[in-house]
Amino acid sequence: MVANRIAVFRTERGISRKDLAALVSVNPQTIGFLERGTYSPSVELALKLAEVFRVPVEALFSLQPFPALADQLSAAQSNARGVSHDD
Amino acid sequence: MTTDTHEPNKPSHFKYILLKPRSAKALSAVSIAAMWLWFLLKLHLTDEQPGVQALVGLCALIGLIGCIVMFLCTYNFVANAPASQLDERELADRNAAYFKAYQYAVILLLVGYLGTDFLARLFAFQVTPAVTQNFFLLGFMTVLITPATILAWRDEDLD
Repeated sequence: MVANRIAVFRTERGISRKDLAALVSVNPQTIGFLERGTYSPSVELALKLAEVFRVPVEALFSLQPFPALADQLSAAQSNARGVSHDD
Repeated sequence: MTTDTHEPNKPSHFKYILLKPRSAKALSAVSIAAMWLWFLLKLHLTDEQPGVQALVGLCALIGLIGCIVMFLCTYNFVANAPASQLDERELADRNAAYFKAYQYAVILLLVGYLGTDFLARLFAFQVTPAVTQNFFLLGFMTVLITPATILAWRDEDLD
């Protein structure tokens, strides 16, 4: 199954499932299936979704599970602290 | 790919009975169970069993009405709609549903054609033209709603 960040990007952009579905020409239920990870999209749909969010397709989909946002944030903060200490 | 022509909330849905996944799952299960119960009870039905006769009639009524409602519901629309009105997930689900329905139909035909004599001896009933006719009605009604039933069981209740 392909992991994705559709829900994260959709929430961040403030787009409803229905609006996103209309933008990529699918049924709103299909967006729900994608977000829950119970359906893997075609290449065409994946590219359309990436285009809507204006991100590379690999930022939206991955063959490996994405790390949790909390872990990514703390890693980024640690990196930032490391950089400021180096300065 | 047919996603370009897909229109969400298509107006053609108004002709069909809108069933929620939970209702469609329950209705399909009850209908198919009632049809099978009707067929199996009728194998051993005699004139001296008015109680069983009433039960058989009730099963037939529930089964047939349930199958008709399932046939008129939105899941059957997805099962029979032109490909241009469905998105890629719906098409994939429909393909899977028709494959399962095909398997069910083949098993039913196999049981009906090859296994009838064996089953008749095993369960002590005679394969009369009436039994064959009932079997065809059972097969027709259940196969008719199998794709919609599978689509309903694959669907999830939206949060």
